[in-house]
Amino acid sequence: MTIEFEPIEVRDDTGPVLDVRDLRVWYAGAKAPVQAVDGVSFALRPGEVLGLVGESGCGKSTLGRGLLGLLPRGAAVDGELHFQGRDLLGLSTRERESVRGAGMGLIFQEPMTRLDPLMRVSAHFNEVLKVHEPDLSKAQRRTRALEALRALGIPPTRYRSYPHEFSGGMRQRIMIALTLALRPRFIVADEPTTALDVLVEAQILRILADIRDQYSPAILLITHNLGIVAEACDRVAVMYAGRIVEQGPVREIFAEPKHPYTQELMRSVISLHTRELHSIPGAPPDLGDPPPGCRFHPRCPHAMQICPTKVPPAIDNTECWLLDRTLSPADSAPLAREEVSIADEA
Amino acid sequence: MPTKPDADPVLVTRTAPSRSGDQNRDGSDEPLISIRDLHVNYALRTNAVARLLGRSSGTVRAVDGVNLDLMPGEVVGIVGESGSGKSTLGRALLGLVHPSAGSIRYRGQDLVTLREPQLRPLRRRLQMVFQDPHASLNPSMTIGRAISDALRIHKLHPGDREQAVAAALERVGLAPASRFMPKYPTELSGGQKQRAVIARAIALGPELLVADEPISMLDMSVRAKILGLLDELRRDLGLTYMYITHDLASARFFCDRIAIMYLGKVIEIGTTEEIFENPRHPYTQALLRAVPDPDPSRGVARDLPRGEVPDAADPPAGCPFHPRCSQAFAPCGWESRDLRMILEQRWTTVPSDQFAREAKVVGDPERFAAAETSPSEGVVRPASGSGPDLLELLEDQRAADPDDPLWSGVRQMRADGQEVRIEFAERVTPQLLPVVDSSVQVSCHLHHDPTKS
Repeated sequence: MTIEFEPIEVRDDTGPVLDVRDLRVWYAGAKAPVQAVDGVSFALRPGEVLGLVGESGCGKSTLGRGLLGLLPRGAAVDGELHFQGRDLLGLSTRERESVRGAGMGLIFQEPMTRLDPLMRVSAHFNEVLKVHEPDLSKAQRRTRALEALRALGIPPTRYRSYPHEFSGGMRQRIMIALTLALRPRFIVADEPTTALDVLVEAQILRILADIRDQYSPAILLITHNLGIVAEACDRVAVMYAGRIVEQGPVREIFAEPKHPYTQELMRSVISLHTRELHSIPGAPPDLGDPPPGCRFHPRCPHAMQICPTKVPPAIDNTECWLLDRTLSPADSAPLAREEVSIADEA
Repeated sequence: MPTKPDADPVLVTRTAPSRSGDQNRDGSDEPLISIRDLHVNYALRTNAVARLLGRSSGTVRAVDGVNLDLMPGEVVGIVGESGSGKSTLGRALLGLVHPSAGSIRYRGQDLVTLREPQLRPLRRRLQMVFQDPHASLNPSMTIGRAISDALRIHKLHPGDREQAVAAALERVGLAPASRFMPKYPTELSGGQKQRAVIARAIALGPELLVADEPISMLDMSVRAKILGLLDELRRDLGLTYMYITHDLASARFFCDRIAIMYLGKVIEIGTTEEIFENPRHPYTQALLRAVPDPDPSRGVARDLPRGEVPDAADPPAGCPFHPRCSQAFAPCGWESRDLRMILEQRWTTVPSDQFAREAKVVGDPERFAAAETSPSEGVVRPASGSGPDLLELLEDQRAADPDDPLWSGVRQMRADGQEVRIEFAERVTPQLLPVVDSSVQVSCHLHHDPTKS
């Protein structure tokens, strides 16, 4: 299947589409504020796919929502968030809404529940296009919608159907088409294949790869599946307890993960080559009361004396004291680890 | 479906030795569970929605003639996509759905013929672990109560139930048990809940656990722990498992034998090693290609079957996988509704004005579904224009993509006034038959010459 889009004018092709510096998001918690995203920095260029991985409760989805300005009320955001050179955090809610849609899009996790069962597919397209591109005529909206649907392998004969007439995989294609019809420059795909079967998942990944090749939006792909990252992403960011602890090109990180969390995560994947099971003891910490120093130290097999005392600096895009060759012998002495029982596991 | 009860050496002997090397608990060659020609049909009721869609009431053959033996201590994987009937098969095994035909023998007793009062004592020996641990636990019952209730229902350990509950919890790693017994499900993490569900199942002293996607809802770092626990229980308690999953990677690790299901039928079955080393059915091959692999040099899988699993209420003729199969050929079961798929595929590529023209000629392609006049001939009528117009369109598509497997099944197309008559090759439904020199049985014409069956 090939995807044909009208050529799009690309603004400053060389610079990043999205530039995030020291982004923080926190929610009100029962005792203390919950620091769900704590000082995250990364940049995304056009056509680049960044995989965001980590266990549940590490702040992946919060980060994705925070980038789009879709956090629930009561959440606070701080730091810098530049999209095509504009600082988004300084914008009013209304200005922010105008950036969404045509500028930024979101592909949700659950295609089964995100489409209105009382609206035809055509009505869904009309709605988003009317809101975000009010200048389009009715015929233009139809053309744009059919073009996006066809790009995802949905024949024009199904344009007037209702969501329930489609399978889960087809609904996810419709969701992606709805996002693409606005031609966003940046897309957050939050676990886009989690609820789908293996073959359908592979089809969706192929579609995402085609979209990237033809149309080069920057994509943040949130997933817990390292196999998907390996196949579909250029770069990967590993998130633990609100921080990105390691990021870099997928090939490099998969060949030689530097952070112990990345190493443990990769060992615990059950793949077709798994001969022995491995798992990380314990669970990610409560973000209202994270451990001091490096947040991974209670679960880390290589924890040293310095780890619980100070947050590690980023060396080679990896936040780990092991990479600091200048530590004193006292600092680098192994830390006695408390036994982690199943009582504390995830 | 052919039924050759007990006649098939591949089914009744276990070819791969158990990894743990232990013999059957009672040292016999008798299967623990023996499923023969099992059918489970669900009736489709005609309701307002179905009427609006123009669907008539009918039956869904969720399980369509399955034969399967589970040897004591064996882990048999049932692998398939949604709608393959794998969960229904597991539920039928425990009497949670009533089979329409066939038999399920457990230690010589046919479960299908038993009524609920007779079945209940056996349930203790046949337990289930569901996919969603949160939905499997009553939110208003503590973990201790949930497990002791199961013991109470089955009248087990009347004096020292608390002790039995504690033993089960500690067996699954929820230690100290006194800490977990007073907890409510909401106070536990996903992995802990699944451990509690497993504890409840093993507290009854089962022989067989039907585990329906037991790890697919868990976080990835917990999956290995729960799968490891299931593996440990199999070794320590000599449990037999039916492991139902869509995840081939965990099936490869955990199972001794694997059955691949598609639209209610087992299309390939064999030892885990053979299924993975040498997958024979094109569907199995496709599933294996589609598993995302944590190896960045591989790239996105591209040669995937087209489309999705068809409607189980109206499965394709012949081999149920034929419309999606890239290796399909003449006898696989081509029929006129497959033309619809081809046309819809075509319309995602042609320019929109051409689509508008062609859609006018064809009309609603759904009509192709009911266009069979005889087993080998289909008649399709254009919505507007004449037979030759529609024929021209079809011939144009054939010329554009002559290698599509569909055309191998089309003997002849001719316009006949206001209709097009299409003569299809003779259809042969493939049967699940053993493959020479292997432990594998496969249901595919590529492996068994259809002219000889």
